[in-house]
Amino acid sequence: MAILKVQGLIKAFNDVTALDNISFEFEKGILSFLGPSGCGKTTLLRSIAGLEVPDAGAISIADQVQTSVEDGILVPPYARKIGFVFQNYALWPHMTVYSNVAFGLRLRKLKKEEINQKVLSALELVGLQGREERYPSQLSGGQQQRVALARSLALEPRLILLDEPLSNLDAKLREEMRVEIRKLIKKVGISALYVTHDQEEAFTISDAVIVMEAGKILQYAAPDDIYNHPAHSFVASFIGHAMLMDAKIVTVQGSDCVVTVPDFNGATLVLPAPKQGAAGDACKIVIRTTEIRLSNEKFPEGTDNVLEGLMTSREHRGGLLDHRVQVGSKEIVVTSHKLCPLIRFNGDGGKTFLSIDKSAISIIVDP
Amino acid sequence: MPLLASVIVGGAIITPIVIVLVKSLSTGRLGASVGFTVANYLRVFGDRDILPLLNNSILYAAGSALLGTGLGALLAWIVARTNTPGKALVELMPLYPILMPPIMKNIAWILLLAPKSGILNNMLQEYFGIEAQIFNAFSMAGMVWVFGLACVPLGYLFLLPVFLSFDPSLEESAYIAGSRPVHTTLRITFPLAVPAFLSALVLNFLRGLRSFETPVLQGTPGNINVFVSRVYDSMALEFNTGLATAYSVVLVVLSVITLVFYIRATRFSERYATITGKGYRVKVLDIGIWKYVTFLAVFLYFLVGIAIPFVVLIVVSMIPYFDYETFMKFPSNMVLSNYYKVMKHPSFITGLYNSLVLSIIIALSTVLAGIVMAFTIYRTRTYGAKVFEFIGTLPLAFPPLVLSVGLVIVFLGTPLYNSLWALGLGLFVAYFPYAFRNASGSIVNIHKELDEAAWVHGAKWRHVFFKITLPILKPSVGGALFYIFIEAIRNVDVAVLLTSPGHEYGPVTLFEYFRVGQWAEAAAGGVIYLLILIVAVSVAKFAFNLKFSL
Amino acid sequence: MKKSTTMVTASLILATILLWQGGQAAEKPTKDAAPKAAPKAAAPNATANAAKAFDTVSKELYPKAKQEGNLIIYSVWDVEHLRGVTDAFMKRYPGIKATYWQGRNPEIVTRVLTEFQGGQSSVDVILSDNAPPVIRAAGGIMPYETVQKDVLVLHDPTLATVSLQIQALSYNTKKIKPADLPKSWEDVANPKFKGLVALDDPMRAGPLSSMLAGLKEQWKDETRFNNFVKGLKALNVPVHKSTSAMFRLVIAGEYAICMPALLHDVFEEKAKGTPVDYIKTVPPVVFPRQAGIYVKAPNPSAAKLFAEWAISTEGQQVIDSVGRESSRNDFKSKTSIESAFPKGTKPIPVNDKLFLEDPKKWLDTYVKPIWEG
Repeated sequence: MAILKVQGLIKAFNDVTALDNISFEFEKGILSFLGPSGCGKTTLLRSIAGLEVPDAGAISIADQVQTSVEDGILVPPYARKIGFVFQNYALWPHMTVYSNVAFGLRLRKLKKEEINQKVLSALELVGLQGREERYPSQLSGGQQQRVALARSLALEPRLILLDEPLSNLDAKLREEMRVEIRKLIKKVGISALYVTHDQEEAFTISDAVIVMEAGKILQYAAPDDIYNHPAHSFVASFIGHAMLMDAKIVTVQGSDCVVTVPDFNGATLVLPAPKQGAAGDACKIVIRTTEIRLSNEKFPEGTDNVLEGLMTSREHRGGLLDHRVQVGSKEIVVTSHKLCPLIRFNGDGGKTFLSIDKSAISIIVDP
Repeated sequence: MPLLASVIVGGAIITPIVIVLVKSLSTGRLGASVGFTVANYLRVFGDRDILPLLNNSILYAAGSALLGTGLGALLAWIVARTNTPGKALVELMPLYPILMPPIMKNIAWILLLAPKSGILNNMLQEYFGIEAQIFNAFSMAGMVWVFGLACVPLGYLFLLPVFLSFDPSLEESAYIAGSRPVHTTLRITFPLAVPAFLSALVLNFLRGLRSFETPVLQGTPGNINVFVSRVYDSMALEFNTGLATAYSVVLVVLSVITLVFYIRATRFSERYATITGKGYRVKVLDIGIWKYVTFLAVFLYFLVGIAIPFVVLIVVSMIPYFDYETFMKFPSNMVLSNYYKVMKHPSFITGLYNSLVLSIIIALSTVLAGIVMAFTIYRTRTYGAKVFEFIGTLPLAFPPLVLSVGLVIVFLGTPLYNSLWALGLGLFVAYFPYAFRNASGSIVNIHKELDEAAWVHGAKWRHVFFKITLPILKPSVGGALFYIFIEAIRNVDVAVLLTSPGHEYGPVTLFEYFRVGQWAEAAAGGVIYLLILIVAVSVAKFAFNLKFSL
Repeated sequence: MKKSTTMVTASLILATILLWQGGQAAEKPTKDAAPKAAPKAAAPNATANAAKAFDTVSKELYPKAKQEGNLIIYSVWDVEHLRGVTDAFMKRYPGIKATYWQGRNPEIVTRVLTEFQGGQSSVDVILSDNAPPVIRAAGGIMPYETVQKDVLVLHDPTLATVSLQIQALSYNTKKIKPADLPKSWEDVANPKFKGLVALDDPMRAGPLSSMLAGLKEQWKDETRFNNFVKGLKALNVPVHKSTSAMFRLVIAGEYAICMPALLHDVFEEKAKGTPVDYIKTVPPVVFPRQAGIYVKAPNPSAAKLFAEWAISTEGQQVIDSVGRESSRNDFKSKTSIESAFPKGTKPIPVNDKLFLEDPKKWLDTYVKPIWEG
């Protein structure tokens, strides 16, 4: 039983198509909708929540039809048994933390003791025990976010939806929280849909990611798959620490192919062959810069994909070091930290050699 | 800078009030100064009727304020948040009753609800054979009904912008938690509108405390007397300004208590921040079959608020005299003599022009000053800014006649005396509280982060003020402008002492008719006024698309 | 301004102390401020003499008034009436610009006294009923005696009486039959009229209270007076604070009897066909409407000229034409006592000095104990 089934969802606002025939199924776990603003991810999330009504299509949660435009079914949001964490937390300012969390429970006409127990345990779950009597305005952003989470979790929904919940927090908190949120959701054992524009966040939190652009699904896969095998140049450009470059296929030999890269002064690179593509095809290659070796000495013979360039600068960024190397007409930025095994560098600037493993490059042949 | 502006405005307001207070401790009969004396206060506290009178006043003011503000808030919610059909009409209908001049309301409702001679009771008798006199204009219920209707506009105009700019995610999160729309409206939407509601309620209550015409015209014939009559009697009977002001001080104390309650009740202003930085559309609720009921409700208000009284006034202005039979014979006995008289009136046209121009100026200046002062209190970290909260609302506690005495004294000996400037400043002081309370209630609803976003970007206060606060306040500003314009253009109490030969003020002209018992002529003048206002408002709404809402 | 205020304040303190000591203002030493007790009936040569006297004083005052060039009036009269009167005055005496300000009596008194304390020369003539005596008691009136005093129904040596407020006992002809009408003012207190009477508030210094002042002075019988007030109280009707509104309600049929009404109101309504009338056998109460001259009048000659002109036959014609009652005993008009009431009717004047100058005190002394129990 898939926790979520979406079929043929279409939604337009005036002239803008927010959802362009979206269909997918999700078994269980944490699924992210990733994309730039305006790609439709929030509209998709809100449609699943019942807060938006699509123009066409159907949505089922846990095999129960929630939305079906053709059949005229529209289960209202208060009957979908889901949780929703809003970007601005949407805590009710005139109620205490306790009342915020207890709100939905009180609607279910539970006994006072039961409500109390559920509220306190939800607050404990998010680490806010002891703050029940505070008002939202007295809490920090991070604390408010946790109250919003607790509020949703207290109702023990089958599915929880989160709309960019971390975007209002500072970077460090964001990094901490995304791990915490994943832990929390896994602990409680429910599934989650997570909307974000931050690729790192999506990849850290999710079991699966849907990359969207202009209302369409570009790729739906596990984070690693997307990272290693971006299916679309847009997806590739979205992934951090990767370079997207124009190239041309020279030959295809078995599982490998050879391409020339104009920006590297025509240097050739060997990489895994694409599913479809023949010699002479124009293509794009994606180089994952986190897997580039750097050295100011020549690499031994037979090393994959050696390129020669000039180190233009090195910048310290906290505990990291950015090496900027000019190869051809492109600048490649390779980031290292103290114990990084890929970088062997002595001295400052000057001639630099790079080596890129075959597996660090992907190829996209756009139709 | 905003502090400076607030100090100036505050000074302008507090000067006549201080003078009035000084008079209460120093003035005897005929305005004679007698040095420091507490004789006036001794009289006030020795007055054995003071408690029953206060009781009546509070009952009347509270009843009307609750009825009017509640109804106004409900109308605002219906117009802003439901899918009531006939949107354009529904938005417009609650505005027209605002145009109804105050004394006109009283005339119309007395004629409708008088026990023996009233139209409604006689109709019940004629058509339904009901002998019992169900309606009685001369009762507390009658008074609360008429003044309550007059309180609706304030509630409507204060609450409409709040509902229109309400953050939908606050309601959506309630739906997700399982709350159906009705429950959400009751537990989330309405409670968060409380500061604005209280603002309007407090204003209406204070107006009720100093209201004079309705209690005099409808209360006295029913043996119900209110406190304000003591103030007027001190002036009318004894010409004792000192005593009048001493009585007024009691009202001031009551008003201060009310204000204190209001400030306490809204002290957690951040809790009520509902307008945040994310842009959004407000959600309209589908209320199903109830939308016909709500449409009917708005229409009913339109009927009782303006249509029915207007019809009564038109008929009364065109029959030779009023009693039930003559009323029912209309239009066969129609005469236009009253209209000829009014149009030939020497100062009717000048007065009309003066009142139009002045009211526009007053509306603009009070609203701007009100926002500046509210901004100073809630948005700058000025120490003791809360005192402005008190000053800004103070003029409301004073019966207009007493206030105008203070103003006359302020202007006496200056070239401003006997000029339209004096009248303008007088109206400014009298109406500033409305603009101020409106701005206060709205600014409280704006989340601090909106300003803070601007601060962070290096904006000085004036950037924040002009680029952030002012534009966001635009919807409620529209309402305040409209309301104050309408109120100023009908003002009599403040204007009467400050007008002078050659500088007439329209409504004062009209109401002299009323004073000498020429109700028919007053009705005719009122009808003309009303028609002009209706045209002006309609033009503003349609031609300039002046929005009294978001 | 501060200095003059202090001086005025100081002198007012003195004046007020004197006032409060006696209750009798002694600051106008020579003139007898109390008006004559009985209204005068027409004397044969009085009209001609008065006309001559007016002619002389008019010729004397006009050049001076013309030089002053202005005339400022504060009045309770309707603006239409004021316009009519000032237009006629200006036509008769070109070169004098007459302007007016209209307000209710408390407003007029407040305004004049405030201006007086501020040392302002802001007004010339105060044209009203209740206001001039009150202002006079505060020292704000320049005493002036008209040369035409012999033709006046009510004469006061310090204030020119230019018109009268005439009260009549009026009723709604549809609601009560002539046979059932009260026979006198006193008769209104008869219990059989319970519920039928629209009663003016005696405690508010309006027409009813002036009627009480007039009746008390005429009867000179404390017991009779007290019984009358008791009887009115026993009618147990609510009281009204506005005679005009009250009159409207009588016309509407809410009440049958209007206690009291103003004569010219009744005539105006009758002319329209309204079902009201007044009881001719009940003598009217008359109250003076005066043109008092402000003590600091900037245009004193114009003010005096106006007062005299208003009393003159031509002035009275204008006043009559705007619907106000004449103050002369030789003037023929619909609302004059001669034509409106049977021959030999003796009107009841309101002369009581205390009542005129301090109505509240008078009411507190004579009416309050009975009315408020």
